[in-house]
Amino acid sequence: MPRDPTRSPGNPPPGATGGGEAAQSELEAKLEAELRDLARAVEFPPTPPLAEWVVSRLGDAAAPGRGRRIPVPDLSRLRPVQRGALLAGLALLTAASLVIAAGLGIAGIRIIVGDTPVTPAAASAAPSTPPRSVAPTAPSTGDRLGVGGAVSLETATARAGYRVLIPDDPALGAPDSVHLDTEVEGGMVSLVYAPRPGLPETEAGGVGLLLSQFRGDLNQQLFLKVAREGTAVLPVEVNGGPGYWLEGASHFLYRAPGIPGEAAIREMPLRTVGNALIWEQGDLTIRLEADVPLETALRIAASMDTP
Amino acid sequence: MRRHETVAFRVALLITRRREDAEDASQEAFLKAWRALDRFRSGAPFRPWLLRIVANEARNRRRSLGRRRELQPLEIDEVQFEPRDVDPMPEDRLLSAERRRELLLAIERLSHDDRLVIGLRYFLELSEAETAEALGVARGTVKSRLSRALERLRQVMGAER
Repeated sequence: MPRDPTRSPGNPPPGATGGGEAAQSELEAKLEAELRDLARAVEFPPTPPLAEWVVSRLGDAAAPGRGRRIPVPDLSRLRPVQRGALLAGLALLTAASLVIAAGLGIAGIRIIVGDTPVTPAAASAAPSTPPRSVAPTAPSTGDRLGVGGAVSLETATARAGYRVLIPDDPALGAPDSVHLDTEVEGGMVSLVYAPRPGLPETEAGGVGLLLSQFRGDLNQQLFLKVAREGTAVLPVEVNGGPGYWLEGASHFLYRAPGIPGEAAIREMPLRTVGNALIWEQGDLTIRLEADVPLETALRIAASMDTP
Repeated sequence: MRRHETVAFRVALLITRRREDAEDASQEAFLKAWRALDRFRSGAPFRPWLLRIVANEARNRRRSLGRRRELQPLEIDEVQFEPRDVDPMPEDRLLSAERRRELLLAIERLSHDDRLVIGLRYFLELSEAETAEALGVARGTVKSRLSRALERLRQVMGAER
C-alpha cells in the first residue's frame, strides 16, 4: 500500500496535534482496519431469547381469571407519529407471535399463530342466513362478511342475549346494515357501515367499518389466526378492559363448530376488512375492523363506553 | 427483531464481562424498556434509547457485583472471545490468525473503559450516537475517548514487538 503522507485516511483522529500528525493518522487508520477485520472474526456467546423472557415475566404478572392481561403502558393517548415508532419498538421488544403464543388473549377468542393465512373461500355462507330472493349471483354483505343475515336493529337488540352497544360518534352516524348470527352463543350482532368521510373503503368492498359483538364468556369456538410475519400486534386498554390492535391485516377470524370428538378444526373464515381492534368490555367481546389508524378506532370504541 | 436482541445482549456483555450477568442485565433492560414505552418520545431513533437502558442496567449490575472479584487484565476463564478460523483468502490485507490473536490480547490488556469503547465501535459497529448512549456521554466525548483508546492500544502493541 503506497504511503502518501498528504493523503488523509478515512477516519482522521480528532484532536490529534503535532508534526507527526499525518504519520500518526496513517498508523491509526491501519489499526482501525485491523480492528474491523478482527471484528469479523470475533465470536460471541449465543444471544438469549430476551423477548420470550419478557413475555413470560409479563405473563407471571398478569391478572388471573378470564382473559389474562399483559400489564401494558397506556399507549392509546399517543399521537400517530409516536405510535408508529412505538409499533416498531414494540415489535423489537416482543414479537407478536410470542405475545400471542403466551396465551394472553381475549375472552371468547383464542388467538393462534400461523405461518400463512388461509385465503377465505369466496362467499362462504353463514349458516343462519335464510335463502335470499334478490340477485342470486351477488352474495349479500352478510354472506361476504360471514356475519349472518341482515335484520333490523330492533330485531337484533331484542334477540341478542345482552345489551347491544352502538357507537355514538357523530362522524359515524347510524349503521347501514345490522346482522345477526345465531350460531354464536347469545348471538353475534354485527353493524356494517358503508364507506364515508373518515372511513375509507376496505378490501371487503362496500364496507367502511365492521363492528361485531358477542358474549365472550359464553363462546369458546372462535379463533383469530395471526400470521407470524407482517402483522403488528399491540396490546391496548380499551374502555378499561384488555384489548389488541392488529395492524397489517394478515389475520383471519375463524369459527370452529363445537362438535365433540371432531379432531380437525373446520375453518370457516370470516373475512376481515382491515386493521382490527378487539377488546373485552363487561361480558362482551367486541371486534372493530376498518382501514383506519388506531386513534380513530379508539375514538369509535370510546363512544361505546358504558358508564 | 433478533438482531436487536443480539446487539442489546452484546452491549451488556462488553460492560459486565460476564455472560450470566449480561443475560440478567439485558433481560431486565428489555422489561424496563417495555414498561417505559409510553415515556419514549418519538422523533428520536429507537435503538439508542434501548441501548441506553441496557447499558445502565449492565453498569448497575457490574457496580454491585464486580467488586466481589478482582478482574484480571486477561480474563481467560471468563467470557472468551474466540477468533473464528476464516477461510484464508489470498489477500495480503487479511490478518493472519496469529495477528488477530495478538490484537485481541492487546485489547484485553487495556483498561475497562478503553476496551469498552473499542468493542462498541468496532466489534458491535454501533454508530457514534448509539455508542454515546451506551456510554452515557456526549457524542464528542466518544470521538476523543476512542482516539485515546486507540493510542493506548497502539502503545501496547508496540511494546510487544
